[in-house]
Amino acid sequence: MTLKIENVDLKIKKDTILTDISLELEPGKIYGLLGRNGAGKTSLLSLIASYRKVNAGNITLDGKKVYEQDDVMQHINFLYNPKDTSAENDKVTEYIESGMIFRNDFDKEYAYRLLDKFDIDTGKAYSALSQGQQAAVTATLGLASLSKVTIFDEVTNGMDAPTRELFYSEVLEAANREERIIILSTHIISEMEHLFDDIIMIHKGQVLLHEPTYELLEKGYTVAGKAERVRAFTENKNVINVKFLGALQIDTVLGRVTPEEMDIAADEHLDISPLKLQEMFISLTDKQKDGK
Amino acid sequence: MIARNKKTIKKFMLWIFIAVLAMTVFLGVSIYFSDDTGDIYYQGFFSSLKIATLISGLIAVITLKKYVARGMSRKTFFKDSTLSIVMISLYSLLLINVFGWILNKVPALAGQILTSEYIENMILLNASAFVAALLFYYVGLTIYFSFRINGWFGTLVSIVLGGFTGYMSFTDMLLNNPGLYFLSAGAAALIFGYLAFRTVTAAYIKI
Repeated sequence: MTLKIENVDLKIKKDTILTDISLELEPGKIYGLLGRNGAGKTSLLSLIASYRKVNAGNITLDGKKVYEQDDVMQHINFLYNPKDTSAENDKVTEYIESGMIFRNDFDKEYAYRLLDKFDIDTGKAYSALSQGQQAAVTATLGLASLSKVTIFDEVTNGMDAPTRELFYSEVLEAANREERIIILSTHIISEMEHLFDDIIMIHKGQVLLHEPTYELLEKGYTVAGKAERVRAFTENKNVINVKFLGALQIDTVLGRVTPEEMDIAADEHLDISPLKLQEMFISLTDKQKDGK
Repeated sequence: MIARNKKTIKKFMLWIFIAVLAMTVFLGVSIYFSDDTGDIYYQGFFSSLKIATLISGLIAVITLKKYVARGMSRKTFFKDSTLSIVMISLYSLLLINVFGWILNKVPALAGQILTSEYIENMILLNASAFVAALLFYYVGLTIYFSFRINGWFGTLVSIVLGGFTGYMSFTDMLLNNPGLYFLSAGAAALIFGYLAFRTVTAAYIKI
């Protein structure tokens, strides 16, 4: 089961939203979809879930076109927190029942187990729940659907820290238990980077990169220490980001650090640490650096 | 949604029953006090049915959104929603006729409500009302989704269809010449059914 996105373009009125997007997503993996506001993440997810039609290109699951195909759409589940929930007066139990009616693979027992873990009162109307609880119900519907392609678009918004942690562990468990493609679109990168098998970065409607997380994070490192020593160490290196913390300077560098350089860093009391995904993301999508 | 969820079907049937019963009482009282003919009974009910299906068409996007979100295609939504409108209309017409027959048995109103003596006319009248209900649903769908395509286009479609539905709602043709009404509403239902299908299957879902 492979989700293939081939040369996809999307235009809304006169605006070009996505250009020539090509991706191949494999089961059993959790994909982190990253991009700045307005980069085109949600638009891309909308296309995968058949919410919109592509202007050019193809989206297929197992070689079958996704758009307007019941048997394929059945296996794709796009979850997000609705902006206005005032009209969502159905009880939580009715959401679970709807899930069972419409999704053949929906696991009712698992759904109720999750709701119990999230401490949700299933007798309450969805609109009567807090924002975080609504997000937990949305997350539950996604996880319990057992859909082959499950997309969570910023579902953790509004969740408190313990609920988010619980969601993360359930996502990891779900990905390990069933061969699913799980796509997590988020802005909370630092908290979720350990979940991602692959990173997809979208910038200005195009795929900036698509790589396994470990490979991506091996591409660079950060150096922290006294400003003049850090500057001397990173001179002639590909520095993609510079930060100051009082007298401290933290440089983010692309490239590998050699054993000799490690010795120099130790002598100079510089702290070398692995690249942070968030640092890399900020740097790669920095408006000031566009085109450089 | 309605077509697939048994609980929703039961809820809808109960609400329709209560609405038809309440309206029967209201119309019965109106006919008694105004000493009007029974025409008002059917006219009142058929107009209500058409307005209800028109509104259903205008707000159908809420259900469409839920359909697509739950992995069903727009085509399936169109089929299911048409089936729902057909079932609701048939059920409503059954109740309208049964309650009309009961009302006709009330001594104070005996013979004032059109019933069995015009059996052929009644069948045609009901068939026309049924087709009109379906037509108004498609008109509602076409108006809403033409606005989603373009605001100006939607306005134009609303003006044209507003005039058309206004005529179809208030014309005496349904009672005076139900055969002609049936034919014209049937032809219009086919045309607008096709237009509604095209606009619904091309609709995007806004998040």
